[in-house]
Amino acid sequence: MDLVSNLALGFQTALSPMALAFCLLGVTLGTLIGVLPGIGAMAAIAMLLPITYHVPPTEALIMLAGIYYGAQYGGSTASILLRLPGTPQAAVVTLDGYPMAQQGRAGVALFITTIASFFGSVVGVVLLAGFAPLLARGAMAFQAPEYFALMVLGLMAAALLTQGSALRGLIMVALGLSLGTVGTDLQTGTFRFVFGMPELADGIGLVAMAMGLFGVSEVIANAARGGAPVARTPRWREMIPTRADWRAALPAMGRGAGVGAGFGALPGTGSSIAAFVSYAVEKRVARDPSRFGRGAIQGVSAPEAANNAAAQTAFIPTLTLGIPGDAVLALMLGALIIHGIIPGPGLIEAQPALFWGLVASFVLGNLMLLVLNLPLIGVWISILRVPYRLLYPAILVFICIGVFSIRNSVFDIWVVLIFGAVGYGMRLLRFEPAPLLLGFILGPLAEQYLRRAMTVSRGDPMIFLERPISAGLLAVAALLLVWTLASAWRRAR
Amino acid sequence: MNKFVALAAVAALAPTAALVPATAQAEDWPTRSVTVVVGFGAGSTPDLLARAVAEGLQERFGQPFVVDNRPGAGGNIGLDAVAQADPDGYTLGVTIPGPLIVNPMRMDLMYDPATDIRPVTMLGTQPSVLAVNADLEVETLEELLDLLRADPGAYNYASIGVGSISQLAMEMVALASGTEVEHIPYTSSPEAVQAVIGNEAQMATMPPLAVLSHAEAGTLRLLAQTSAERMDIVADVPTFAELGVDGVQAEAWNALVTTGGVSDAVIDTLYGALAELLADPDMQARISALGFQPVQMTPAEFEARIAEETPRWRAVLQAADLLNE
Repeated sequence: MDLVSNLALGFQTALSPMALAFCLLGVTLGTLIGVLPGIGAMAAIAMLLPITYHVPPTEALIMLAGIYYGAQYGGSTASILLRLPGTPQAAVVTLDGYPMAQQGRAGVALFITTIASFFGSVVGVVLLAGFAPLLARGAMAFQAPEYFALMVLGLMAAALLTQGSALRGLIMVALGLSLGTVGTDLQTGTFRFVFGMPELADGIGLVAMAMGLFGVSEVIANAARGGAPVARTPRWREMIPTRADWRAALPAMGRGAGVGAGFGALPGTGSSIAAFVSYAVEKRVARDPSRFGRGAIQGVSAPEAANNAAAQTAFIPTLTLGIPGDAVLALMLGALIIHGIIPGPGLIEAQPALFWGLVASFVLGNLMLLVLNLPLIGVWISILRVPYRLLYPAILVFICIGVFSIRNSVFDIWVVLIFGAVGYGMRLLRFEPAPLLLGFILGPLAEQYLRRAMTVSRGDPMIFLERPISAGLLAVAALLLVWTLASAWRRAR
Repeated sequence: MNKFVALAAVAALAPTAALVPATAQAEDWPTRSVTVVVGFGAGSTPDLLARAVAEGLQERFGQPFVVDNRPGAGGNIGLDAVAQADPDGYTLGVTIPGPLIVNPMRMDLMYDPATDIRPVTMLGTQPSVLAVNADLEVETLEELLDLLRADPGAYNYASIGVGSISQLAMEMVALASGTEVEHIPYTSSPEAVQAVIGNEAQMATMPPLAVLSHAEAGTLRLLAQTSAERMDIVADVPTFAELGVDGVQAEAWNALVTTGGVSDAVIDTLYGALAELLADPDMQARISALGFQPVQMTPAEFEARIAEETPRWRAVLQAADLLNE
């Protein structure tokens, strides 16, 4: 069989001592960097890019990819322990992960996220190996109208993220949408709400905003009540999930991995909304949705599986179409170009050893990550033993370094500070930051795809209904809306 | 009182300052690390080029040349950092035509490139290639222009953003050929190329590296290149001038600049090393791998080139209604 011989070639490449060494180096670096909030894979890969000049392309890519998906494993650690999400995906994990930590179940949460990460990755790698060309063709069917419909669906999911009143959730989504309008109008190049500050020309920094809203506001709140509420750190035995935990977490992982793998293959948008959507799915299928936001294990395992599956399938458009799924993958394409390999539709045929070697290295890398991460849980947990008065200055310093490293900009540190204060105000008024963040992410994308689709149709809105995929997605979104309103109405009666 | 202390401090420093004549300073340049500001993210083409050049200069001068990525606002933030730096030659910048020529005519900026930036040399240049969806029934530029003339405004072109060379090159084609095409901006070249392959737009003017693999795969057809003469990377694609369309000349070059007011002595030292470095076959190979044509251009030639390009872009901006008046 073709796949078998391809995989044999892949493992032959990936199992060479040098490839193994670079894979281990990559995933180890990725794990360490992922744990530091805000200092994402981007900074690490940027720093290592010059080294790739002196390393053969396959090994270089194996290492850089290892950093990328390795960082996804660690990304949830700071979210669960300290409510410090370095990425939008990790922000979803804070919703139930942080409450779990406050209940003394941080170990269980970290254990489950590691397993979910591994499971999601494996699903993603299988799809990458088996169906890369097919999924790439599927992604091609997505054009502006389909992406717009997808964004509408995502915004519907945002309404489901809220724990309290739907009205408060909608207000936050609207605020997020408004904040998303800051920056350059993509269609005309006009500045909107930039106020003469070039730093705002590309909009408000997403990570800076997320760190402020979630992390800094938490630090202020804890300082206000004289310390973090976690008094007790768990013993080793309590870190192992119970049978009930597994029963709840495993099906959620399966659903999350499915959602994530699908979204990941869509270039540009995939991974950030995959986690949000999978969380909304869990809340929808749960028998008792009220447990979400109070430490539901499904709320941790599903988004984590989704975001790792997406991280693997994001390589599909990157390698088969030359369209990077996100900024980090764009950087990896840069590493290929350095070596004179131009990513594009012919890459898999032209460079079989590179593609299949990379796929095989994903399998090996994820196994390494599993072995690496499980023992580390105990180390991370011990962070909670540090007295809060010593911990929070360190947290603030890490936030500042992390946010600064994104684009070497002091301006973004001010953004963190401002959103920290805003986040604390929201907390006092009992508004939640998650719907705001999703509105902020999806708003500009929805606008961009809406206007693009309308330009293509020369102003005819029927374009959204004439195309089957877009019409189907919009129908699902409408159903979700009706369902939500109906259940709200039933509850009100 | 405070003023007095300040005066005393200046007086105390004055003799030491006098011991170091300005010329000696320039001859010694560089005596410490030099920052190379790039207005784009790590891994972008200007970044990769800057890193290659920084590495070469570091070897030649024996001082660290550190690349500092300041992405944002289409490269304006990075060039602004160069403009605001001390004019001592310790801050260099790698830029594209946008922040240096086009953007100052489009918007109000914090810097004036004419006084705040001193051009050093071009590092490499690339044409834009007019690529069309292979299913579009045109084999030549002439056939495409006929199609556009027959149905003005019915077709779309993709670009990598408003005000980018990718957009302006197409506007330049429209201006020179008297045709009308609808603009759809995207946010990156892969995205724009994808749109052309998926027929959301029918054509785009793009850097060669972004379209070559798709042309090989048969999904895009390359009709013409926007440089004055054919460049090596797309040697089999004719220029607009060869095809009888005059006035289309758009190159998305990358160049090295420094702060306005840097002394001639520093520029001479720097350019001397750069000229050697850019003539080195290894460096040329690295530049070519990024899709660029290596160039040799003295600071004076580069300044003349900027002066020549400025009115050309002004006319295009005017036609596309993008000029800030």
